[in-house]
Amino acid sequence: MNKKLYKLRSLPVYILATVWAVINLYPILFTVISSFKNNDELFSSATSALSLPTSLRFENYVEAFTKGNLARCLVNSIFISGSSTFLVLLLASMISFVIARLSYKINNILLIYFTLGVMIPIHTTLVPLLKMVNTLHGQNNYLMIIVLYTTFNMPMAVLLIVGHMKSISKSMDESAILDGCGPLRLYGNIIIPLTLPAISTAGIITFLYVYNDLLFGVMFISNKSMYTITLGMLTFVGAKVTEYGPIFASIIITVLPMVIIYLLFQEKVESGLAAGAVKE
Amino acid sequence: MLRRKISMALAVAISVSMLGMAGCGSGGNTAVDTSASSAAAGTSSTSAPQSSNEKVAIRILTRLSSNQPNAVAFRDRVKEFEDKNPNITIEDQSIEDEASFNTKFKTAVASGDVPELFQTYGGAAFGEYAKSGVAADLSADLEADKTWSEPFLPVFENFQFKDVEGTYAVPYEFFAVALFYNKDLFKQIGAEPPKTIEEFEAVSEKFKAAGIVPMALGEKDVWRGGHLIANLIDKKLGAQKNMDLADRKARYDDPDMVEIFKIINDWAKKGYFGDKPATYDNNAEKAMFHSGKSAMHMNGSWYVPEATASPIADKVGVVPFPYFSDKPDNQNVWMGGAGGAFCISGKAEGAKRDAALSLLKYTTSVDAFKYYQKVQKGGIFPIKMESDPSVVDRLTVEYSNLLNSAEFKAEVYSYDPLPTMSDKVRNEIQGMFSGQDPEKTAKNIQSEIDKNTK
Repeated sequence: MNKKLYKLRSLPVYILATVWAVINLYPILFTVISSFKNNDELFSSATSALSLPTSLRFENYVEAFTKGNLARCLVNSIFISGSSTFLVLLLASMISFVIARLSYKINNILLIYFTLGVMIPIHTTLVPLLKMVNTLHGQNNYLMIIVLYTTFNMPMAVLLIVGHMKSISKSMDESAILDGCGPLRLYGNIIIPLTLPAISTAGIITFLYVYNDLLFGVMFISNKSMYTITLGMLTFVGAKVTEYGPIFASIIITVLPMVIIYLLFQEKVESGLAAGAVKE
Repeated sequence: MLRRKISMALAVAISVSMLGMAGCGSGGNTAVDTSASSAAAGTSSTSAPQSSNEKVAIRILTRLSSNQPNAVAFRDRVKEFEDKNPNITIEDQSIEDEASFNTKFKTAVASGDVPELFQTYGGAAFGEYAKSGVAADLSADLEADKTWSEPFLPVFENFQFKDVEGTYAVPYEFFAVALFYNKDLFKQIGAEPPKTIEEFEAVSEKFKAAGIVPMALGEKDVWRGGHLIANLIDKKLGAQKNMDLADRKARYDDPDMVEIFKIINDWAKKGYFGDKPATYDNNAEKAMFHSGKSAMHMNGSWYVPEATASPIADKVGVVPFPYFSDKPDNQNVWMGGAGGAFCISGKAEGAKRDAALSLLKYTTSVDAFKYYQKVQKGGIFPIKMESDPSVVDRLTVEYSNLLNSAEFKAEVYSYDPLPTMSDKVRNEIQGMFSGQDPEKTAKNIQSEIDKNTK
């Protein structure tokens, strides 16, 4: 009886969840269907957004790879995002270790310094950034763009990791040191494994941000062989005509790796998001 | 002790990352800053200054980076220029998407480091750049090289300003509005395409009698009426009237302007634009023309490719918008002008400026436009040139031949210092199509100016 009642009560939740799922699936479905259409079909008043294409235009996918040079863009994007993420995690975890585990007087100021970084809108920094990059002849330079992305993603990562590190009991460090553990081992073998949920969250956030970013690409990359995915898709945007089919096809191709990564790390992300929220 | 070790480790880590940042300097392109005395600015339109073999690196920022034929053709030409001038390296920073281009360009302006060659659409905002020296005055260069400058159509108005002398850009895009017509339908009524307004009215009566709409006008899109009045003002009152209205030397409710509103109202009442023009849009209007329901179609040079791809492609002809037989002087005034244009950074000097100027000439020479036309299989450009019928479509050839002696003016309200005038004029004309009388229309438009000058 109780079970039945319970099931009945959760029915509205299921209905709502289903509706929500449909709303969320709509853009994905729209993108998949549109990736097989041409502009005439997309804009035709005779068909709706979700009506099936008259024929499967795989040429959109072919064009994405040929005209849009998507394979190269994908490699570039993954290289830039991967390197930036690695650097962010390495540096942020080290800084966080200092801020969260050692008692320097400067720690609070350091933390505020990084918190400020989160609050500065990226657009306000563009002019001085462009000056700096041009002075260093840093246009079209992988290292420069990786350093830039690393810098801009540090604050968020530091905040996340510091929050989580602070929640680990201090007695852990003390007993480790008593057992003869050096600072590097303390950092690498004890604190880092315990902070892994926050680190993987910071990693995924950074990777996604860099992977999706267009602004720095537009500002600092003009060499076609260095184009990232977002820049590659822009080659289908003309001043008068925009070829939407290949753009949608590119979206499908480039979203796939992200979906796979997310599905693999889903649990870690979700536990990481709440990391440091409650002190235990 | 522990603290010291940790701070040492961190100090090392930070130093390493700083070194990494410094390393970027050598990884980038090695722009050699040359400030050699400038060679006589390219006397030929195709070669770069040969004064020295010094390496020069210049940057260009245009909206020609997509896979569209016009962008591909431009990039081909830039590549060719690089091949011919091995001492010049060109870094193409172009981005076609409007928002991205604006971000990039405005940031570059703000940082004081604008690419040597960049794109503009001219107008008041560009005037500020001309005044502040972001863009360089090119009038001396245009004057010095007649083989380059003479073929251009007179469409430099967007790049010249009252309060600062000079010409600040060279156009590479162009538009003009003409009258397209259906040859078969004209044969059917036994008439020639109209040269004058009087002939236009005569053939319109014949078409009406034959049950064909003379010239459908999709006035649901307010710019259609805007283009119509712009053409009528040009042809009846002349190019100067545009400026007089903007300078407040003339008023929209002057008798000569009211007369123009009356002509439009009269034509609408007689049904020259079809039944209830304010209820259908430009697409519907084109559909009527393509299906033979409408005999004439007023549209811009941008419509040529669409006409060529339409079901009546081989029946479409084109003539200039008719002129008033009592005003033959205004026969060659067209609604039209430059679109995109290139300018040179005001900060570019010496060899860099020479290289940028040579590239500018190379990409806006008659040969360049011929190449663009060939790759695009058509297109109308801001230059007097013979289009080759073997590579471009018939209509493009016919259209370009009309332009040789034309003078161009943009839509009347685009000169107005009051930015709301464009909407005001267009909306009031639409109101007239819905029954508002012409005097009232003229008064309403003028009231917008009076209200703002009080």
